[in-house]
Amino acid sequence: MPRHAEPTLMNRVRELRQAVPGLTQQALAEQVSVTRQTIIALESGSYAPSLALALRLSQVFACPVEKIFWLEESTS
Amino acid sequence: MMSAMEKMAWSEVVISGTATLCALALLPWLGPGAAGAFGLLGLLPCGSWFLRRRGTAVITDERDHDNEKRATFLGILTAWQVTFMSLIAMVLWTVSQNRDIPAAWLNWLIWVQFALCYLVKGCAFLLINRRQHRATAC
Repeated sequence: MPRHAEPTLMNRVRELRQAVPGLTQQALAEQVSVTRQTIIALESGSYAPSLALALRLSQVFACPVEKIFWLEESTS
Repeated sequence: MMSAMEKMAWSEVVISGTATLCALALLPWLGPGAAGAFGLLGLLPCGSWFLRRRGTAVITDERDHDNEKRATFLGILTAWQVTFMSLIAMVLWTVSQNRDIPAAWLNWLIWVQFALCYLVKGCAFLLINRRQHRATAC
């Protein structure tokens, strides 16, 4: 049976964070109760957050979750 | 800067690596008694000192727990495989040589699989973390 490639979770956390003056990775990490390393991993797209973290981020950016995270079909 | 969980993983790598190296280094002098060096593994809980609470700062989060779960799985899997492969080898040896398994071998096997489990777990955690930290901080 052919297997479909898993879609990749993409996000615009970095873009949204940089749009807020003075919002560093550390400050954002403190607001959503994670470590700065997790924000780095999120921004680089190497970490898929839990639903709770995604919701906390959407609260901080006052933006719906689907505007921050979306699925992208793999081309390979 | 390293996170608390990375420091703990390093402590696991250093302690289990040092215990194994000490045991191997003492083997020519102490023989099977060199396995006593694995007692250094008793220092492993000291790594949790890095996870102590410091005010309101976030020490560990969901990503750390996810990564730790994956690393623990790899550590246990490796130790399990090494244990069973070694037991198979020992059984084959006893059958072919028509001799009993020396008790010291089993003693060493138990200690080595503990050390290996923590060594692999620590290394796996550090590698998983490193892969996630490729992005530049700003």
